Amino acid sequence: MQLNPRLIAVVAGVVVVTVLSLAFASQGVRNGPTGPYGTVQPETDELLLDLDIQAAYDDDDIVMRFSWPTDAPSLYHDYLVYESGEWVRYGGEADGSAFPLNEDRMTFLLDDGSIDGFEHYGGFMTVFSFTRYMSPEDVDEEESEAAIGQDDLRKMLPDTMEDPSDWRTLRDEDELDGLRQAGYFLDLWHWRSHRSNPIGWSDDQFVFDRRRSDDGEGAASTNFDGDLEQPEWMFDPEQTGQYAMSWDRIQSLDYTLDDPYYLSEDNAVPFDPDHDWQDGDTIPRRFLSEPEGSRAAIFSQANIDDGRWTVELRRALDTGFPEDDKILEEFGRYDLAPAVHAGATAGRWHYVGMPVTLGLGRSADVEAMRFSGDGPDWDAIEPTTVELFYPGVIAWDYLADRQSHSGAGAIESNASFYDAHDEAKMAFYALESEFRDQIMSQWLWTTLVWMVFILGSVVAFLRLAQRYGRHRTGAETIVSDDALRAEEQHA
Amino acid sequence: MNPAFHSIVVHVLTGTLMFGTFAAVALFVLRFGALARFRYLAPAADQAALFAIWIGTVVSVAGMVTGFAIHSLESSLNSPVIRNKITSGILLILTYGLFLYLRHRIGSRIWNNDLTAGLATFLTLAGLHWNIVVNSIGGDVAGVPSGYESIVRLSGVETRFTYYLPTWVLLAIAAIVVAMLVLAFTDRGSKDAAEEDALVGSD
Repeated sequence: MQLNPRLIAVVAGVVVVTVLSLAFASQGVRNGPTGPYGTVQPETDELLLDLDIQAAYDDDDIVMRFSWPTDAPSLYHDYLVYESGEWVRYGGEADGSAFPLNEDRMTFLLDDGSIDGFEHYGGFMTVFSFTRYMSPEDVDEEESEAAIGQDDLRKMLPDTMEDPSDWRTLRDEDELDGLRQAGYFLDLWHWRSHRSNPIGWSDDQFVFDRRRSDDGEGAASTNFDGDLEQPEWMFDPEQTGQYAMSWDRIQSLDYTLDDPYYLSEDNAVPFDPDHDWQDGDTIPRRFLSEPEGSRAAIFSQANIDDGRWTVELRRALDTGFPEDDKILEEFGRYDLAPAVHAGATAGRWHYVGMPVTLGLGRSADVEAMRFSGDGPDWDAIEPTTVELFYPGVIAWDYLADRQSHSGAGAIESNASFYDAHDEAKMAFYALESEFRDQIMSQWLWTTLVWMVFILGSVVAFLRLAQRYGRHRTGAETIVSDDALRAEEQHA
Repeated sequence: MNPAFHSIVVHVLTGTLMFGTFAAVALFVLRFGALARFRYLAPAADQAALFAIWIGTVVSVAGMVTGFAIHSLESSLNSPVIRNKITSGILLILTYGLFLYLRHRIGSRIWNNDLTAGLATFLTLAGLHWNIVVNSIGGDVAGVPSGYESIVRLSGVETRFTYYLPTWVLLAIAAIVVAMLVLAFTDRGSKDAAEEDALVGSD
């Protein structure tokens, strides 16, 4: 056999193509900082997040403790920054833009068995292709306001619509009232690191025909006088040692839980426009005060230690608001679907978990232990770890449509999510869901080019191989001359 | 269509293609001294490989048809792993199909030339690789992954992501294919090579 240079070059070409394919397969159009939604997607090694959950209860309250890793905890939300004589708003954007000012959040949806399928599909049941930020073009605000009285479409439950694939078919008020009274809603515990936690509360909401807040007043109001175009409150310098925060320190995430990073009734005084304000002086755009009514049902306490958030939430088992909250009972079992906003994200750019069961004094994924005294001994309660994942733009109307999703039949029969998926796989699906059209085109081209490559390389190699390959003769012949002659004779 | 029909077809093609591939590999290794005394088996192995790979390749087409019949085309194309399954299935049929074409075009002589025998064997092994990938993804789709993905992942390819390459890589591959063909078809060959042509036959 001759080591012909051309033969070597063809083999080298095959090797180069193989190496290139291995190096770049599964990267393709995802290479690059932004997707078609103009937003930043998480890296493939940032698609999962472990959340530890513990729970305990006594005669009156349930206490839940959540813990998750954080390398850049965000205590910040939106701020007013003094720039050349004007107060300019920064932060709090919920559209996925990569601006590092959004509070960390931990939420969970809670059901008592009223929502068929929630135990398997969790929060995916509340998100539709028309939900805000789920497609590059949001539903027109004026159109939705005129049609159903909502200027944006957030989380909804399927049965609040006649046709769950069409937001225009929202049921009338009487039917909605009946559904809610029958318990067809999801309780939403909504812990916010900036807009409620600093004064010891979690926000309390529920998901029904939209994401609604419980009755009453929330903890955060807007600290801005639109007429005067200035804040209404500023820091009390006697209490906090400052009139304003430093914009530079905020941008480098330098404040800690012990610093005055929020504005509340306890550390604020009315804004003084005559103070000698300097460029970069920063005042929180939110003013915190004690919440009221049903919305004030959940107390919170949080800290950051060893690179982990630990959040403790306490609520009465029976809040007295059965149309806002899921009432809990000893020996009851409930479904809980958690989510975390980490890394200064908002909107749908978060981590979600599939539902786990919560049992009060009975077996469940998260077993709440009975405690006595002021609070539980957390060291005595084994945490349950839930793997959260990035959910992309996977919507309920897509999942339930047989034409779109091959698992729609399984959903119709209420099969478990885990029959065909796991969290890691879902995270990859979710990431691709944001590039579906682009990937389809690139995939077809890749398959075609690989076919051409295989054909072309075989033709080229064969032509040279026949010429330069060692031909076995005589005793070395693999298929003997007799066999060849017989074959030719047959042909 | 009931997914069980697809599973039945896939089991048939997997068995026959594996058998054919082993026969082809056996033919290749018969050229080595230690196994020379078994060369009398070569004609039988040649026929066995040909027969089994014919059956397996035809049934592979049936496997693809029954696979597409389980779900709607749109839902299949929406799934990253099913897209990968389609790509792997197409490349399976292509590589085994090329083997069959070359075997019929050149005849049994393909096994007497070290390089053409190597090419034929390589094609069957490549087909077997795609077969394993297709079956492994099939298990993944059915919720019972085989674990082969974790081995493939070591090569840098994530089977849960759709197989696709950036445009510049596709263009580079196309350029390399053109270059390979130009090199092959502009080769004038040597005197020795011409003598080999006379012995082996040139297509």
